[in-house]
Amino acid sequence: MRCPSCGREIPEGVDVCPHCGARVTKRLGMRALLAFSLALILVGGVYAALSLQGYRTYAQIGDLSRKMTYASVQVSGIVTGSPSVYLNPRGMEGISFTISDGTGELRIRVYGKAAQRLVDSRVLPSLGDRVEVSGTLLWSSAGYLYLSVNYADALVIREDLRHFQELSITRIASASPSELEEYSMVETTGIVTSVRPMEYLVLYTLTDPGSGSSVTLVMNGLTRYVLGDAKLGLGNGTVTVRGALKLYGTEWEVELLTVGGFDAPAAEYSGSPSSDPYSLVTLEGVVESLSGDPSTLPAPFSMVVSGIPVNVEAYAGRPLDLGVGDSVVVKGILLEGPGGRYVEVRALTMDGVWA
Amino acid sequence: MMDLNFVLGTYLFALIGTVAGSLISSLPGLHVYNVIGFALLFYIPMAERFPVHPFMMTAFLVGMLVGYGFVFTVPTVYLQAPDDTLVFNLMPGQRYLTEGRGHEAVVLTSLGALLGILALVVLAPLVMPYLKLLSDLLNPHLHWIIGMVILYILLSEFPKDFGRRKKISGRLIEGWSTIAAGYLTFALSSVLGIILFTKTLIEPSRAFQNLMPALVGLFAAPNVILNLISRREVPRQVIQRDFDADHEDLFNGTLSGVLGGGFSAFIPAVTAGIGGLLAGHATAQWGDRSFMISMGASRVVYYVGAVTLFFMPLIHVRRGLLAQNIALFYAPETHAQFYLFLSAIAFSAIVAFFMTILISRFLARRVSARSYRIVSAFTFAAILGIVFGMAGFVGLAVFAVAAMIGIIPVIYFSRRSNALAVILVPIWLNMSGLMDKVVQLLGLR
Repeated sequence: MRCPSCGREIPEGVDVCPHCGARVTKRLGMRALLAFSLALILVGGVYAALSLQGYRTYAQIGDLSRKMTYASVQVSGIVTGSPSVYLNPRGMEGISFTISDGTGELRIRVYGKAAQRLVDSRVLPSLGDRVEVSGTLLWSSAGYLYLSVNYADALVIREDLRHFQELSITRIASASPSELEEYSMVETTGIVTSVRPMEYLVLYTLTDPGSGSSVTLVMNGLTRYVLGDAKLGLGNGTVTVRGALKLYGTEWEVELLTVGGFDAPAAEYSGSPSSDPYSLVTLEGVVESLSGDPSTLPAPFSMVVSGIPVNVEAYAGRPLDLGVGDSVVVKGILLEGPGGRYVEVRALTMDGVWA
Repeated sequence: MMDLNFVLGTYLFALIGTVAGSLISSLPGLHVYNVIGFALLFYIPMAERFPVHPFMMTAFLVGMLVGYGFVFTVPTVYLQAPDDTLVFNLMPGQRYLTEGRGHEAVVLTSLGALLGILALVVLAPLVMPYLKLLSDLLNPHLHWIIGMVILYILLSEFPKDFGRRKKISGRLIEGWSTIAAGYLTFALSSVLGIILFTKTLIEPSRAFQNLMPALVGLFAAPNVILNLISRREVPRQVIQRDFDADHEDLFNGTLSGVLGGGFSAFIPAVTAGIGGLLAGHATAQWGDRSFMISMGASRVVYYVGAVTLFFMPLIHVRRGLLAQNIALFYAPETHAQFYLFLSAIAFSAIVAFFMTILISRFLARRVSARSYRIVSAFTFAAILGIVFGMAGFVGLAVFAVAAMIGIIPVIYFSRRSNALAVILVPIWLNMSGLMDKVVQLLGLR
């Protein structure tokens, strides 16, 4: 008899080889090796099937709980919380919005390259959109569940389901909370009569020139980031806006679509100081007096250019190395106050001062 | 979304990578850095000529890594030229080889690797939710954890026997020579590591291979040199049909290997060998069989586990050279990709396991057919050729220095783990913020 390990001659019936110490019985055969390989094939096959399915658990938001943290889930619903953008000193960190499917609400966060890819492709969610989104369920340190999305294709926005109802500003402004459906899409037309930049979003007043009725337009933080500030403002003339209805207290507001929320004619600064008030004007001349420091923007400052007072709003333009006697070109809106006519250089518009 | 063609394409690339990695890993004197170097050599022309999906390229690279993880056991056992992760396998491997059981040693180590991969792919999705937490908990403490590993290596030289000489002074010298040799190895390896981490000895175009000559010199060369000098001969090798291990060996070895490999994959600078040794002590495991199984498991869990961490959604820890290189051209994003990645690993592991058996059978028949000195001479020439090809003349110089350090524990029978200081000490110094002071103290800046 030979030792099955070292091949040397050993006595019959021994359990252990006297030469190499290997056990002669109770050994591991090829069948066991094949069994382990088969187990690995099975596990690998299950994982391949999971990857083919995209490995998503379709869930209703109301069924999600903290116990499901780190689960990979797919949910669908209507965007009911305004899309916003996280910024850090290096740029955009991510996009966030809330969806509701009727059973509950869930915050969605899209991070890093995925968020950048959505911005670059201009495929972005708007309030009222129907979306399908897949991601990893996480528990925030602030005490709520959110869905972390790190793959751009994991967010599907059903733009084909956007149906815009044409409503006049008067109709929207006069409707009671029960008359209109929140998050339904509308299209309306008017003139922008005020701009109020907030920390993250911009509020506009859209006025119907015929009836004088007004409605508040909301440009969310994501739109503001994507478009930049100087696209919609006073002096654009008649603009057509599209967005979703949103109740603020008992009043209806319209939140603009994140992309393609308005058609506004380009602002033309063709007026002069003698034009009608609210005209957009171009003023060229010499700075006669200066109050404030133009080099320390975003602080506002004022000056007199060729006899016309000019007020520059905070955040309007870039820091300027400007002094009395310098030649400037000013673009702004002509307004009339108690002291006479003046030019207002507004933030969030194409207005500006060039030395 | 994945489709069947994508999955099959991934398997195909994993298969090509595994076969290529397995064949390359049959060469002695290799290190994982070389395998990745070869992989990148493949990748660059392929990416230019055939625009392949980066995930499939990743499958190719991981296939190579898995191939290396399995097949490098073969030159370690037959040619006695291990890398830093298999250095502890050398002693039992050598014993098995001299008993004509080299093939059995290879199969047991590879079986450990197969079970290690099985454990890795099963456990990875289960432990994923806790790894981020663990990573956040451990990151501020890594410097002292590595410090403890260093302390463990230093203390593991004790206890030693007294010398057997007649005079007290002779016994004292003999008793302490092994320990002193161990600490000398540790000190010299540390200095070598600090120099390599702070100075660009090898020209920048070969900078990818900066550490490789030292690692090959420290771990692969010493035994080959010793075999050349000592005229060792190897008996005829037996190709076993069944193997000396039972389920207890398999369980103990795999458990200890997975723990050690997982620890090494998670903690920078700690390689699989020392991780496996630590886990072996922690699980009170003993015996050559389960030790070899544990080393096989530890090694693959260390290499493949590090890349798996990178593929885990939301964790993306870039641990290990391959993960860092993959991150240059690909960022995994979804759970589906993670599961396909695990599936490709499982597939590669099976291919690599059977390739290891085939290559081992091939070598077992040839290694004893001629003088082992000739085999060792061929091995040494192959090592020199690889080091020169990868790192040039300066690389050969670094290799020579490292080999001289690496031969100290072989001559004095001290622990080879002391040579791991070449990686551990510089990284520990960097993490604890002491590197600058030490560099100034050594006059390197």
